[in-house]
Amino acid sequence: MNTPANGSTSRLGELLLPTRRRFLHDAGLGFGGLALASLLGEESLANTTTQPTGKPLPHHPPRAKRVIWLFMTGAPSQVDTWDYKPELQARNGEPLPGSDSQIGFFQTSGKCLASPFQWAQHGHSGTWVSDLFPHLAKHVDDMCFIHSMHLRANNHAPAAMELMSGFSRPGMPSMGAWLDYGLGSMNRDLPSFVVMHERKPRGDDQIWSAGFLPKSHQALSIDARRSVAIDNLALRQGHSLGSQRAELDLLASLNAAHAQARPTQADLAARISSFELAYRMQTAAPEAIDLAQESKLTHDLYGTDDPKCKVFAKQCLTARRLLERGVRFIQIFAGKNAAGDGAVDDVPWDGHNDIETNHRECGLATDRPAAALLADLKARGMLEDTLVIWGGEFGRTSDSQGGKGRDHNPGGFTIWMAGGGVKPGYHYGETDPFGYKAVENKVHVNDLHATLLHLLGIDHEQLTYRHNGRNFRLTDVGGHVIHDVIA
Amino acid sequence: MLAAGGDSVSASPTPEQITFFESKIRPVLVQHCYQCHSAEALQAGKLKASLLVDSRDGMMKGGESGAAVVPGKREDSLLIAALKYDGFEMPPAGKLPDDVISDFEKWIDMGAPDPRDQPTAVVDDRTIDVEEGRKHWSYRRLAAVSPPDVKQTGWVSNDIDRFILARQEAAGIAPAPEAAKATLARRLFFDLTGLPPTPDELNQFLDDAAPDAYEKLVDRLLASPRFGERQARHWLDTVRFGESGGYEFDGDRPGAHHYRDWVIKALNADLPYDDFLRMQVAGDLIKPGDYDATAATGFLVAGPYPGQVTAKTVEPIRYDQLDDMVAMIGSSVLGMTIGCARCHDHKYDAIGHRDYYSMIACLGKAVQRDTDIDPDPATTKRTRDAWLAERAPFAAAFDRFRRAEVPGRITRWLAADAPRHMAEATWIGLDPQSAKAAKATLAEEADDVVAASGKLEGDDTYTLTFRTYEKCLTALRLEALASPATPGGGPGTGKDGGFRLSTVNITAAPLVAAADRKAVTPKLQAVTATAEQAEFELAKAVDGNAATGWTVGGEAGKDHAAVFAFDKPVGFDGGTLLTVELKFEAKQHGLARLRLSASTQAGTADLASPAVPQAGREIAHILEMTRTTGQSLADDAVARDLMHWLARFDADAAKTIADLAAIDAKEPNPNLVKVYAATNGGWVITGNSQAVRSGSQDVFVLARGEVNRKKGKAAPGFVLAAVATDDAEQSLLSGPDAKPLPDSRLGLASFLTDVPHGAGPLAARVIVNRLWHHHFGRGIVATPNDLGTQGDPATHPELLEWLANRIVENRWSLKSIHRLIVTSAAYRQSGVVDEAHLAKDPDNTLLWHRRPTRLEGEAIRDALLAASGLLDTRMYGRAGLDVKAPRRSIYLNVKRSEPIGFLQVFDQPEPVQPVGARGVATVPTQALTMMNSPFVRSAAEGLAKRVIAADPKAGEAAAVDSCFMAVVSRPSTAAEQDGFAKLIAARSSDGDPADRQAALADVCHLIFCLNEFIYVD
Repeated sequence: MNTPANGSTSRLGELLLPTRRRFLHDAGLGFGGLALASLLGEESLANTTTQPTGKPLPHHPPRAKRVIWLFMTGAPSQVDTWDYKPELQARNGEPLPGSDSQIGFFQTSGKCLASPFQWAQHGHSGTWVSDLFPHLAKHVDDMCFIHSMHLRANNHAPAAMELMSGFSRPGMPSMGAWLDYGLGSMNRDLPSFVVMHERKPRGDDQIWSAGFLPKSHQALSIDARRSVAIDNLALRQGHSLGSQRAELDLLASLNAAHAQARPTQADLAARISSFELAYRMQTAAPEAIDLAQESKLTHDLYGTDDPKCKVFAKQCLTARRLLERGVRFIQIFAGKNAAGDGAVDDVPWDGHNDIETNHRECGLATDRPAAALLADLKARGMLEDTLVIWGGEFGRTSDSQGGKGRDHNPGGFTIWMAGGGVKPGYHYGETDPFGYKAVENKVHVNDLHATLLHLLGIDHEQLTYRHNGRNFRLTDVGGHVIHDVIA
Repeated sequence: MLAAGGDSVSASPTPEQITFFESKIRPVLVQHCYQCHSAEALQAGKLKASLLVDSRDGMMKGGESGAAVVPGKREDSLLIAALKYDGFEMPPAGKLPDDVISDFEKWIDMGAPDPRDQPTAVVDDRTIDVEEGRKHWSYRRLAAVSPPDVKQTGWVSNDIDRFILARQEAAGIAPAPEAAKATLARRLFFDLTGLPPTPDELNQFLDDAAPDAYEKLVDRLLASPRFGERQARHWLDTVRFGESGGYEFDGDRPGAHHYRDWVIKALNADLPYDDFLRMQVAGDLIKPGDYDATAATGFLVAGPYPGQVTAKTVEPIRYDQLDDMVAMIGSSVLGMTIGCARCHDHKYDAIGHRDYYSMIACLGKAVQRDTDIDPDPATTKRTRDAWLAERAPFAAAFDRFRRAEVPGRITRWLAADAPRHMAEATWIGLDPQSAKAAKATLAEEADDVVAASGKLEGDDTYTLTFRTYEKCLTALRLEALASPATPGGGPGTGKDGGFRLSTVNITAAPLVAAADRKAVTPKLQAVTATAEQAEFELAKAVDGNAATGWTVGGEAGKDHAAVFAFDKPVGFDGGTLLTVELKFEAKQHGLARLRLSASTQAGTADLASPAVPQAGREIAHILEMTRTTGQSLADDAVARDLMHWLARFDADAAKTIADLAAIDAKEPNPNLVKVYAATNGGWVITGNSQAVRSGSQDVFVLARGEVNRKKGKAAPGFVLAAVATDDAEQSLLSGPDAKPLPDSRLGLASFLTDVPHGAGPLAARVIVNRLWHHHFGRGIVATPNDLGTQGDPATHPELLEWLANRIVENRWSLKSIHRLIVTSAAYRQSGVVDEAHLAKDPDNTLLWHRRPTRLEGEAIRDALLAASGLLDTRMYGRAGLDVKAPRRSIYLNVKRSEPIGFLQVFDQPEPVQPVGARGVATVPTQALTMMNSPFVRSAAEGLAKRVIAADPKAGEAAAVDSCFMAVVSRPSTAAEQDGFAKLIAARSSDGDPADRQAALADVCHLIFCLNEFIYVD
């Protein structure tokens, strides 16, 4: 593209500089890196000089550059996974002390239900792990556990929204969108926020919404059930990259002429650049998600051939490839549960009827791939600045529901993190002796978010967006950084 | 330990308790809490959360969030929660040591003994100043404004321009020249109708040299049905319209689109904006049963609500729902962020916590419901009137027969035929008045036989009714008859003719109610049957067990019968309605043909003797009754009854009855539709698993918005600062007779629209600003949902005030404001930029030129369909979720969990919160969509095909021109011609027509990718 800007245009461009970026100028120079960077960083605080707080991002040196969140959809039970409670094991069937009618979503028995799983200690940290996770158990010395998570909502969709956005109602930006808004993109031809799911989790797109943030921060969602991973990447019938290139060159020249006559409209140049980026995405994105490029050894590590876990395995492996290519925030929502047990596909860990059958199946579906991801990231030296998070939308009751199942419990649950600047082999917070409620060093979602943002170099009180008359934050009006979990 | 409990401090604390307080509690309070929570802090203006902990009363009373201390109940004492950093975090400087916290717990367990009995300082926890609030510019009463004088009067087209020009002249700026006619046409078409002009429409305007050609075009477009479709989309953004519940399951609301249709209709009809608001807030109360008024209230309940509700969540969800309504009303109608006052007084605007709860108290009864309603009662009435006219002669014939014929025919029948039909017999054949089955279709054949057809396999339940004047019925005979017409040959519907009768129930109810006549259900006893299979004896049909029943085994294909005896005789004076229920359960089969008879002979076991039809005996009973009562045979009721039974023997009577019945069967029913809308009623939630009913419609003030912190019932009321005076609040809740309105929701409707006393001035300012926003790409206030102190300041406050006055004076006509705006010279400017002006006003705040605005996703999609010729302009209804459906985008379903990709990628907002100004982001997925999506391709192919079909012989240049005209309303330039000629040449070398069309489709596709297509000058 060679449409040198004439004097008048340059002058106008300069006039606009105080408030606009120099899209037109960049367009005039051909599609240089600056235009693309600007395009990608459009509306992101990291690339602008005017921020509400005036504090440049990142606010401090980040410990983690990227995040992968393994979302255990449906809510695993803390007392059947990572929060061993001998007292609960010993008092199966006895009344649960402190049984609270406000906890749970349906009705529970008020009687202790011992975990049906076998427990053992693992690693140097001596971490108790149930036998649901033979593979992950090997990595406990890399994990940093928070046993005292709690939140407000007690049903799946609102809780998932709360965990992602800090609010248990739709319409608020989720963490991935906040990060893209705050930090911009680390790559030039892929989105920065990716969500993977099989059946959509309950609450659907509302969980990973960009809310009131500009739509440029919305997630790209990759649906494991579809043969086409990303919409509209494939060239139309009869088109080749070459013929498309010729068309885009013509388009660019026509659009440039149009933009030149409308010098005050910066969006026009941004849109011209967006076609170039789109052109590159057509090849970059399929390459990024092409698992055929991975070795058999890697496939075996993740278990992409194991019918029990292949969906999650492929998602984890795809995620690693995307992380390598500069995607900043990925969430994988663990998909359907073959055994069922009343748990529907959109909430596989939802063991209301029979915790043993349900969780056994979910363990088989997720354990090996998650462990492989940790091992793989570590082997590639990426774990240091990649934060891995494992957890569901809440925990489950220590008393039984319908004999063998457990109801929802937002009062206390466990998540673990690994890599990205967290203390390895560390346990923070405690539930009561029955694993029922968080009692020691309680961590609210706002605190978790504050801590995650801190690890990413962001002061959670400084990352704000003005909407409907006030500055909103991911952490609303709460949140304390849990410095104890940071290495 | 000491007894606690109760809700007051033990009358006199023991000395040990006082010592404990003085040594462990008071010092901590003084050191860590008094700074912000004492009378001293109050005086210093440093009091936080209205909480005083420097007296016993203050602790008990608590602050904004409720009691700090509940003696004996550490769980309920917020003080403990705060010390533990659970919810609150006090003291803020750092958590106190655990042993201190446990001292406080011990102290509360003791009953919180506290010697500090001085009275608490009085805290006025209202932090807002209502009078001061009334002075905020948008809350003020409307003020008259005169358009300012300007120098360049020649530029002025209407008074709007005076306000615009005066500011420009003051700043030394001059307006841009008027845009070219074609540019204006494209701008106007998109702004008013959301569609591009067709080449014909464009040419018609370009060819119209009349001085008022533009104004005529404005009027034509304002009158177009497309106008409402375009403007409705803007309104739906501001009211977070969706057609599903969101949250879990995202249940569809198939009746929700009636609201959207109503908005389109109302805007097309230019329904005055105050009525437009009133109907949306309270249409169901203003015009009960009216389709339009009901549909309008979809406004209140269009938000997302959880689809799974249990007893534990019902209350918080209800308050969230009320919050959704009030926050939406605040943003959309008043430009107020009322939602901010849910937990405390608004931090910036004069919106009190009390105001918030007063507002939701007005909405306290409003709940969502699907209402069956007739959308077109006029047509229904016409249809019904026509039917009544058709029916009249048959009804007259029936009446005539009844009056003139029945007495004579009865007399003749008695003389001639009666003896034959009234012979004594064991069984009286019962003539079914109705026969229905849960699955099968039952029909009556001759001789009282009932035959099943249709869905015959498996379980079923037959219900037959009979009328009779017999008074001493003691037994029932069921004949299970062979059925040559059904596959198994009967008597059962099974393939082998089998059936299994698992249950027989009989109910006898009086036809004429009386105190001593109560419906009875005689207990049945199995007497005998023609055949019984071992284990499936007749008794199994009356054993109360659904799993067992009577079958005839290998005796299928033949007639069978069974006799049941009643434990006591049945039959009422005045007649009896007998209901016989035959159940065929446990996945067995029903009866293909059957007949029932009854007997007055006790102990009968007669299976075989023929029955006499009941009609003869019934006539005899009626005649007997008339002899007792002295009624005439010509009496209407008697004659009707006699005619009914006589029909069995008299073909004329039967025909007269049948003729009337046939037309009665054609009685037209209103064409009811389900409208999802608001209604008053108890809040009923039928989630998936646990239906919950909450009868309460009371709204409580909630400390910090939490349902377990109720502070008393909320009284209906409004945002006080938006009411002219404090007293006016009550008058807005009253009718013209000064009596309270029957429903405070009606008061809310008044509040929103009342100009002298209520928030009418705000509503007017907000709506004219919205219209301005959509015509200029930026409102006079750039934050259309927030005209409060945190919103942007108005760029032209006098103009906004003037427009607000205009809409009120113009009887709230929205179209009149549209017309004013688009006929102004300010609106008609071109995009020509003067450098000197740009230096003075780089953001074009003073509107001295036109800046291109990007079309919304819906308008882009509609324009693609329009240009391609695929657009289907049918109005209303549901067009589904497929982007390729050729209907206008406004008719596509808004399913919260399945946003339509094409629209979402072009910034369609999520339908969960009110949106006044859409974002305009540029992302590569938009470019991918335009380049590669099948939808855009189909539009390109449609346009190419259309252009070639319109003029097959046209040269390439002319064809390219036609494509440009259809998409960007202008012919192509030489440079464009040149570029496209090369493209076409490269694609269609051999002149194959298919190639040519494909090449032209490529051209169209690229034109669709032009910035010029989606950025309107």
